[in-house]
Amino acid sequence: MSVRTLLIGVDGATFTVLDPLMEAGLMPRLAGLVADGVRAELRTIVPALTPPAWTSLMTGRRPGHHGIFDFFQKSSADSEKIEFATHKDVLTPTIWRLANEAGLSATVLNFPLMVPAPALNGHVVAGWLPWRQLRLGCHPSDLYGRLKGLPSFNVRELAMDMALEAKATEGAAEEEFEEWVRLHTRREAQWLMVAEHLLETEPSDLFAVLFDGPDKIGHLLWRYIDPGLWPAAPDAEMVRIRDLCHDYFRRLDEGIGRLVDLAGPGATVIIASDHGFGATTEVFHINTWLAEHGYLVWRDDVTLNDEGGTLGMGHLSRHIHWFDWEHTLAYASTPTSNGIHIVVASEPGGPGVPPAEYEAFRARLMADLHRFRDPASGEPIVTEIHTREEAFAGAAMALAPDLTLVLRDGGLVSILPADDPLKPRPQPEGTHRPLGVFIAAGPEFRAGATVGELSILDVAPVTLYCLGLGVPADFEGRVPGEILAPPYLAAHPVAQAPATTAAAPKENEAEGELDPESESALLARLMELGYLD
Amino acid sequence: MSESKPEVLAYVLNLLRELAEDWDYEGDINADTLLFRGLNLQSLDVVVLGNSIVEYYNKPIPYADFLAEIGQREFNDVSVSEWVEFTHSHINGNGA
Repeated sequence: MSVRTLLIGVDGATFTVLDPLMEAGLMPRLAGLVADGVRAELRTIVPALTPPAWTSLMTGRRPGHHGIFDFFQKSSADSEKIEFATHKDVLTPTIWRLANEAGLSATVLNFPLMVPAPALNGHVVAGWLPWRQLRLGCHPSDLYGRLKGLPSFNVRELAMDMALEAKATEGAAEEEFEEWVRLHTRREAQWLMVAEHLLETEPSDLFAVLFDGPDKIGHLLWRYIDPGLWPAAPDAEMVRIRDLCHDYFRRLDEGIGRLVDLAGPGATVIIASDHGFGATTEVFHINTWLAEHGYLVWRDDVTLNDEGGTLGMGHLSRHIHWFDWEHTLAYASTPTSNGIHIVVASEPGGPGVPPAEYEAFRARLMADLHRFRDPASGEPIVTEIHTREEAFAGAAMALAPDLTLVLRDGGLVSILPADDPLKPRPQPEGTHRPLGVFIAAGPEFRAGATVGELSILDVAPVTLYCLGLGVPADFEGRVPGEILAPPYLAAHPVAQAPATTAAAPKENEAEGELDPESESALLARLMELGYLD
Repeated sequence: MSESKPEVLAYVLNLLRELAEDWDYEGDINADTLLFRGLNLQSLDVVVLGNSIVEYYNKPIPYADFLAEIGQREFNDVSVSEWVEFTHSHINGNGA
C-alpha cells in the first residue's frame, strides 16, 4: 500500500511567519511545495480556536453541527457546568471515518478530539493528551507497545508533560524561552519519528499528522517571530531566541520534507492550519465588564486581580466559585473562545433571565458591548458580536455560547476579576487570527498558483476528492475549482456523496460532567499546557 | 453490561498496572493505592482514565462529580477501591 494523500496540520501557521522564512531559505521544502502547487489563505470558523477549528477541518462542518465549541463546553443546554470535550462529543463523521467507510485506511497522529482513540482502520495516536495516558489514545491496542520500542522514543516529550509545560509557561520569564522552543523542537522530532515509522512500515491511504509547535511558540514568543514586531536594534539575547525559533521552523521544514519523500511521488500533499496568528496588546476582562454593567455578580469574598493583566493560574483555578449564581445573568466561563453565556431561568421566579425576555436581554447586552470604548482613543473594543444563531446554527447550537465576541486586537478575553476591564499587556503576545494557511501539491492541483481566500471547511471535501471519493451533500465547504488543474478536473469531476448521518445531540447527559471545582482544576491544567491565556 | 465489584476491581487494576508500566512506576498497585499521592496522577489524568472506563462499560459515570467531592473533603485523595466502588455503583445503576 502507498499513501494517496498526506495531510499535514500545522497548528497556528500563518504566512506572516512562513513567507519570510521561505524567502530566507529556511524552509526550502515548504517553498518547493508552494512552487509546485497552490497556496491560499485559509479562513477558519468562529471561534478561531484549536478544538472547534480542527474538528471543522476533520468533519467539513461548522461547530453548530459537529458539536465542539471549546476545550471545555457546556454539558447540557441548561447547565452552567462544563466538561472536557472528547471524541465522543463530535457529532458528525470525520474524514478518517468516511475514508474507512469507502474501504481506505487512515492514520491520524496528534489531532485533538481523538481520545479515547476511535477504532479506525489504520492508526491513531491522539494529541492533546497527558503522557501517562497516551496508551489509551493509541489504536490499534498494540500500537503503543510498538512505538515504545522505537529508538529515542520518549512519551513525556511526545505527549503532554504537565511539569515540563508548566516550567516553560508559568510566568513566561525570559530565561524560560529557550527551553520552551527546545521542548517543542524535541516534541516535533518525536512525532516525526512516529510518523516516519508508520510511513515506512504501515502506510495508510490517508496519512495525517499534526504539528502544534508554531501555536505554542507563537503564544509565548510572537514578538520574536513576527517580522513586523522586530525592533530596529535588537539585543543579542533577542537575536539568540529568534534564531532558536527559526531553527525550530527549519527543522520542521526538514521533517515535512522527509514525510513527503516517504509518502512517495504519487502522494498528494495538503498542508493546512487551524487558524492564523497575530499580536495581542491588551486584556479585556469580560467578567469584570459584565459585573460593572450589572450582568454578573461576584461573591462577596472575591478579591480583584491586581497582577496588572497577567492571568495567574491561581486565579483561574478559583474563578468559577467567584460567581454569585443567584444573581448572575451573563458570564464567560472559559478564556479561550470569547463566549458569553446567558443564564436563562429554568422556572418562573428562578435565577436568570425569564425565557420570554431572552431576546430583549441579549439585544441590550450586545448594545452595551458595542458601546464599550477605549477611554483614551474612543475606539470600540468589541468589533464584532456573533449570536449563536449566526455562528452556530445546527443541531448542537444549544450548547454554544449565546454571544461570541471579536476584539479589536484579535485577542482573547480574560475571565478574571480586575480593577479595570481593559488593561494593556506589558509586551505584545501571540493570539489566534482567522486566516491560516493552505498549501497543496499533487496532480490534482495547479502549479505555482496563489488563489484567493479559502475556508477551513473546504479542506475536508478537498481531501476526500484527492482520495477519489465523493463529497457528502451536507458538507459546508466545497472543492474550489480555482485550486484544481483544469485537465485533472475535466477528467475527474467533483462527485457528490449522500449526506452524512449526524449523531443525536446530547440532552441532559450526566456522563463526564464537571462541576466548577473539577472544571477549574482542569482549566488550570490546560493553562499549564499553554493553551489558555 | 452488569459487573460484580471484584470484576470491576480487576479491570481497573489491570488498566492501572498496564499504564504504570509506561510511567516507570515500580511499586505495587492494589485496592489501597491512592491515585494522587500514590500514583502521582493529576486531575486531567484521572479524567482521561475515567473516559476510558466510561467507554469500556458504555455507561455514564460522573467522575467529575466524584473528583469534585474528593477535592472538597479534608483528605483530598482517593483509593483504587473507592474509585471502583463509585464506578461499580454507576455501572449497575445504583449511583447517587
